[in-house]
Parts: sequence; C-alpha cells; structure tokens
Amino acid sequence: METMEAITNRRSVRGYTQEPIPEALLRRLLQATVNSASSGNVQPWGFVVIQDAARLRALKSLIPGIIGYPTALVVIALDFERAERLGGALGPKLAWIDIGLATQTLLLAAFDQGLGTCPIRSFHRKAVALFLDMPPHVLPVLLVTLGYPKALPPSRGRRPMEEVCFVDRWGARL
Amino acid sequence: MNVEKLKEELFLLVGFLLTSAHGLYDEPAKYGPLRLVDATHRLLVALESTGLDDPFLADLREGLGAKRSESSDAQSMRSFLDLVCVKHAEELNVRLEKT
Repeated sequence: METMEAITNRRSVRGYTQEPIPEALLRRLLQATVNSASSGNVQPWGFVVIQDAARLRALKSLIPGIIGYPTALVVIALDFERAERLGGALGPKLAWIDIGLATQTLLLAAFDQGLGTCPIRSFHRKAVALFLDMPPHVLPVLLVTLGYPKALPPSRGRRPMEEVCFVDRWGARL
Repeated sequence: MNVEKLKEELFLLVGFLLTSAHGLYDEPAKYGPLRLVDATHRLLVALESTGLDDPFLADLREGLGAKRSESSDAQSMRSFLDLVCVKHAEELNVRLEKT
C-alpha cells in the first residue's frame, strides 16, 4: 500500500472480527512504531501490548473509550524520567508530541497491514497504570485498539484544506 | 444461571461505570449518552452470557451493538434512543398485561 493511500483511507474502527493478529505482525507494527520521529531523539515512550483475552477483557472495564471487541490493545506510555533526563527542561512537554507521532505511525502501519485501529484517550490513567504494573514515572497516555475490521467506516470528513492551510501568513488563503 | 459468571461480569461493569463517571467530568457532553448506551450493551451482554436471556433484550442488545459501532452523529443516536425507549414502553405494557 502506498503511504498516501494509507493516510487518506485510514479510519477509526470500532467493529472487529475475532480473528487473532499473528505475533509476527504485531512485532512488525511495533518495530515501525519505534522508528517514529522523536524530538532530540529522546524516544520517551514505552508500549505495552495486550492480547491475552482475559487481561484484555478485564482492562476494558477501566477503559470506557473502547467500543466493541478488539483482539489486541497497545498502551502507549510516556516515560517522564527519560523525558526529563534526556530532553532537558522542555523534555516532558515535547514528549507528548512524540507520543502523538508514535501513535500516528502505529495507526498507519496497522492500516497498511490490513488492520483496523482506534486511538483511545478515554480511560482512567492511574487505574490502567496500576493494572499494568507501571512505575510511578510512567504514564499511559494513549491506547490503540487493534483487530481485523468487520468493515471500514465511512469518512467523518475533515475541515477543508482551504480553511486551515495558509500561504506566507496566517489567514492568507492558499 | 451461572452466579459466579454473573458476579464476574458485574464486577467488570462496575469498573466501567466508575471509570466512565470519573472521565466524563472532563469529556465532551455528548460522551455521556454514549457511555450509558455502552453500559446498557455491556449489561445485556453480561446477562446473556450468564444464561439470563430474554428475546426482547437480545434484540435490543443487537441494535445497541450495531449502533454504537457506527461513527454516527448525535442526532442519529438520539433518534435511535427515542425509538428504543418507545419500544421499551410498549414491551412494558405487554409484560404488565401478562401479570
């Protein structure tokens, strides 16, 4: 799949089949994700993959944002100790951007491999951190559900490029 | 009915309800109805999985499941809820007449 095709056609998927995701494919996705851009190359992230059905089911009770039954979940966490140690005073703030970049990589890589995803931010951070044995300096920031989609939802549309893109100065239309 | 299974399912549902309540303080208002719909669906799935099946509720569970998987707009969900509320009232009457 071409990169532009993946960027254009990716959707947030909430309905999944129960076909399991091969471990080798999950590893490929994570390898792609850890290659994401990172401010100062700090890479202030960590990823926890949950595929075990019982743990996934239990974890869903702490994550209201999960709708449907994904077969895997990737918890994307921010390591504040690393962000501060390697990123300087701005490190912890820039780390949030890096988390966003890594998440987008995962979404596109998964779509490229025929998987559906949905980024989730509606969950109880402390509860999820506790459930996953995360140390105090690590915070789960975003979750990504994964699975083979039952169907690809229609696009919800985006603001037109002319409304949000400018030339030379803010407000000067393309 | 599998009581142990029911306890387990309700335990998970309680977690969902509490984390939803906590999260909704900071989330868009439109998420409130969605969480209630999802909670209803989870409850119905839990009841069915423990053997407490009910044809009317099974139909409702199916409808809720399909609707919540859509990326539908608020008006569409509102219309759907309006419809199922009326159906629920009709069913209430049917059940009351039987007692």
